[in-house]
Amino acid sequence: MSAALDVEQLTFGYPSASLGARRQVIVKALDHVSLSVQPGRVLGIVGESGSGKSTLLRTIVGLNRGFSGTIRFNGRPVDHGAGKAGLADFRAGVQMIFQDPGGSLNPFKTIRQTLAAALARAPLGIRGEGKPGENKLGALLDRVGMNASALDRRPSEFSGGQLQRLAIARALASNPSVILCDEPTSALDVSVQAQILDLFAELRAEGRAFIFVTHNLGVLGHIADDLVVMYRGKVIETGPARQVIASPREAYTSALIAASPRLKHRGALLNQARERRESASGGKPA
Amino acid sequence: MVEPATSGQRAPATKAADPLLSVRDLTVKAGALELVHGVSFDLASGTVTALVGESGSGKSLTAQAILGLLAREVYAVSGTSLAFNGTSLGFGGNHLPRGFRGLLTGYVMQDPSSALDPTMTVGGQIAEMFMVHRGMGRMAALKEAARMLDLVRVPNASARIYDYPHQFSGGMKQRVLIAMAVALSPRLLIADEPTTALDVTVQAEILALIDDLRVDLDMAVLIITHDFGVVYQCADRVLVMYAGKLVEGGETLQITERGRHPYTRGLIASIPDLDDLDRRVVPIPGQPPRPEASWRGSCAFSPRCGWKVERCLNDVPREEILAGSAIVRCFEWQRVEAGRTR
Repeated sequence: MSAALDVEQLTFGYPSASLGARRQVIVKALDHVSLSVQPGRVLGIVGESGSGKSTLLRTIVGLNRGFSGTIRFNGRPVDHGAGKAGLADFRAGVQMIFQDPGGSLNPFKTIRQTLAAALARAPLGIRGEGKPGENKLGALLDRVGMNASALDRRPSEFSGGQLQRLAIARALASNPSVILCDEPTSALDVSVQAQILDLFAELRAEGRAFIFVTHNLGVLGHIADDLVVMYRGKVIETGPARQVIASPREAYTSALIAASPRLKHRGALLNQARERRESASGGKPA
Repeated sequence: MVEPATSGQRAPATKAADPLLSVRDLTVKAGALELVHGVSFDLASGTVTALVGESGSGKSLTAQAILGLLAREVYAVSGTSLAFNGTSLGFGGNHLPRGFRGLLTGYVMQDPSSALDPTMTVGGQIAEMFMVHRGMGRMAALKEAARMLDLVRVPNASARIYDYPHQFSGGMKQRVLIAMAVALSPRLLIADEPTTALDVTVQAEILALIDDLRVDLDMAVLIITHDFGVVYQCADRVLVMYAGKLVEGGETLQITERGRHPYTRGLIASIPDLDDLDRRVVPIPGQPPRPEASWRGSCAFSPRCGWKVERCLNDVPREEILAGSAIVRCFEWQRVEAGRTR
């Protein structure tokens, strides 16, 4: 089976603001990253702040310019310089969902305006002729477990979980086959997070592929088929999610698992942290 | 999955005397909206109590009401008593003794990036506390500030005191806030989501640090969180809040293993548990109620509750006090307690 999305040797650097020195230092945010995700599968990416996991998603969708490496969508290379027409398939087929749903929806626009605009940009085969009708918009809301009464309200009138559902509805307007998620449940309560994870499971059962970035290993253990562990822009471990969690090869992966707060071995989390502090070194690879 | 009694040993409190802080019937209103309703609890020295609940349940308001931090123009705070170390304090901050905040209580705010003054060096902000409350000179206070930063394991503390907040990472800023909160060796530390924005490895370090300070200073700690993993790992007691009311309270193991309130059960069932990847993560259906919602006259949780009976729709459950100073606010708690947790 061919991959829905794959990236090969993706490398990207931010110029760091170096004080005094004339020569700019390039901080390698992505260092020869290769990965792929099949239709109907969830690829989880875990790592700490600064590991490059968000940069990876942003580079894939074309928010970062000046990278090297190859991005392929359905086996065909993506040229981010190709312009609107050349990128139409990619932009409809690959959608992204962000951590802060409040910040990713326009506060001035009603949900009707936001969803209609997303539908209007979808390829003709998906949106159909003419203005998007009430049933099209209603169907999108229905898909994410909300009803048409949301249409004439604005983002400020919804809770965080509802806003994330609306952001997902907008992403679904172009019927994407790949959905990139950047910490989509981190700003939500656990009770609501579980609702959103259920929704992702349904969308994945429809054959959509997911790349799911989070620092929460528990979430990835439940939703991801495969796991990629990133550290300082590099992929340091990869494998089936359960296998990586049950028997990690890298010390860094073990440290991440050990530091996740769990509902067993009471007090172990604090004691391990104290031991790590005492030994001072260890944990992260050099 | 009950842990053997020998596991999970934590350094015990040095004494089990009268509570350090005692709150009775705390109520916070904003206009006609009742945001916190009749909250009562005790905090003992040397123990960690976790306050748990969804966004908007009133956790932070409860903490800020105790500390007298709510603007009187907006919020009306009332209750039957608020006592600190046996001394009665008034509600609403009017009658708080000078130095109650800072000297007796430390407060770690939720957002480390907005809680520090961007125009002052970090050392200057910590030193200010020693200058105001201890009458120290500037140089001596700065030296104390460096000692505090070292205590919270900020590397190279004696140089970092001259840095500004923007030169610190999120985890390091959180440490600075904790240093400020414990600078004057308070008897009580209130930490509002102190680790939510942090990576898990840093989170574990910060929690260990707070726990060390609890032992060293014999502090009472109130930690506000929505992460039951954090609760299980570091709290002695748990208070669960829903729609402005305490719905359950008790020992951590009691709450996590045999919760008596359907909401507590629901929160735990919705955690993606790293140790049980085959268990389905079960959401709590629906949304937390808005304060203006019209559930008066019924149980606030009833629209989302899988245990509800007819009575829950027509009557408001009262807080029942059970053995071990556990509390529960549910008509059906005995039925819930008898059921499996997970």
